[in-house]
Amino acid sequence: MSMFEIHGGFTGLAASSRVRLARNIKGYPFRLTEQQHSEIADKVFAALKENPTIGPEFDKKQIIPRSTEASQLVEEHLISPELAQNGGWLIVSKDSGVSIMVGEEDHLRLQVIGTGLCPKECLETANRVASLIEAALPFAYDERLGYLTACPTNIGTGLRASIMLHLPMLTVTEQMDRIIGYAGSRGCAVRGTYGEGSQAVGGFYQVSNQVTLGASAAELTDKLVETATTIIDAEKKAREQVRSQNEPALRDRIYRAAGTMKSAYLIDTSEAVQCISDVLIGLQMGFLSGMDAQKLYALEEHIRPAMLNGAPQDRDKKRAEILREATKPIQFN
Amino acid sequence: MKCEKCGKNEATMYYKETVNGVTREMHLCPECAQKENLGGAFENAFQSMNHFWSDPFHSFLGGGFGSLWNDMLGEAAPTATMLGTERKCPTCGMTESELRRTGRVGCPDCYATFADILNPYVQKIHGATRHIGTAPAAPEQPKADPVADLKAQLKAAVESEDYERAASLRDEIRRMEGEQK
Repeated sequence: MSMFEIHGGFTGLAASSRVRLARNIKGYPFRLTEQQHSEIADKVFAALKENPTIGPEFDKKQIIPRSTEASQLVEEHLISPELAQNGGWLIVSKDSGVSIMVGEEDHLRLQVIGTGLCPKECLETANRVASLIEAALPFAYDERLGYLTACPTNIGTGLRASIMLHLPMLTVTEQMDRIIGYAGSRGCAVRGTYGEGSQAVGGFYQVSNQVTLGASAAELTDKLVETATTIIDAEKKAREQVRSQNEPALRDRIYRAAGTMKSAYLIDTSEAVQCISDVLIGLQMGFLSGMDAQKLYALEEHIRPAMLNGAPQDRDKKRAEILREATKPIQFN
Repeated sequence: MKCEKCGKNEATMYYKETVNGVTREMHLCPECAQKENLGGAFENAFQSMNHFWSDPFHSFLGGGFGSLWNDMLGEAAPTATMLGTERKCPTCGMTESELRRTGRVGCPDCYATFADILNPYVQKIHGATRHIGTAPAAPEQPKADPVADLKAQLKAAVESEDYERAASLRDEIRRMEGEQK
């Protein structure tokens, strides 16, 4: 049993949840030398190791700038593209549920990931780990402004809580602008899967809190969960609407996607993500069965270019192999 | 609106240029924009917009958004300009111009050093100026009860028959208990 594995509800529709706390160690400037990064990584690691329960769960590794391993960690959402580019340290739990980047814009970026809709549980774990570190290494904190960060946009709670939502039917029915507006009115931002500025392939979006000051981390998280739940309901409605309008066309699209995944010999990333998206709908709406939706979602991470390595054509072949194997049990209802 | 060049397609692009004081405006379809060799201009404009969205704070500080940035952060402190020397954070050496350029502060003390710049900005982005919630655990301090302390003193005063002191202590206790109610 993994120590930090967190599973929430709405499996599939809410693919995963993530909480990030930005923290800086008191007594250091925000921008550090390589030597200071390594010093802080050592201290944080030592603080965690002192705890007999969670200490043994953590490993520490150096991030070599622009290395293949660094790119893989980006695709696993364990480090940011910036850390992969500039190098630093990663302290990560064996199950990858908790990760701490050392050397990002802030000294520490503590992240907790779970599956489904579970930002509250993620926040609890993040708070627990943060206070464990804080007991040994006091953080830069101001009575009025809260936790101090390199960028004023993260000040206060230092919290970025986000939920990855699968909203293919809101996308198809062109309701995303309305949804983005709604989320904005609730203080939440909606972006494409791979964070800021990226495209939403396969209808995967990330919903996150926008402000970090003036409300507690728990309040911000509650508001995010409420917003996400409303969006999920809208997606469910859109699915039923599409089904009632033209079920044969929907069924055809889903069956074709499952067929492609079951039989393709070469497949590129974007086609694969699109197929995963369609098959996910099929599993959730009962057109397909035999596979757990969350398991299928997890595949999305394993078929990214850096995870597979090698020349593009080799990757397409490897990717197709993984998908063929994984989708074997899928049945057409 | 139809394209001003071909008059057939829908105009989806608006182009405006000012050369030597002469302004030229056009509403074009993508095809004619390409023919006019304006593709590059549109593409560049688009790219800079993209950049703007991917890192808005950064762009505010760039030349093009200078006025917006000044709006948001207020004018530079007059003392700094008058003296011709830049304001610097005494702890980390961060200068005011670097702060405005990068949008990042240098150390925790910068928030105090450049409070006049940062406070209005924080208010603007968060709509709040006060942190709520998690705080570092305060070092354990036994909370003294001032009234209990005074009562002990009163008892001692009565026992030592110092009635004058006892009376003033009694008044003090009444005053404090009244405050607590």
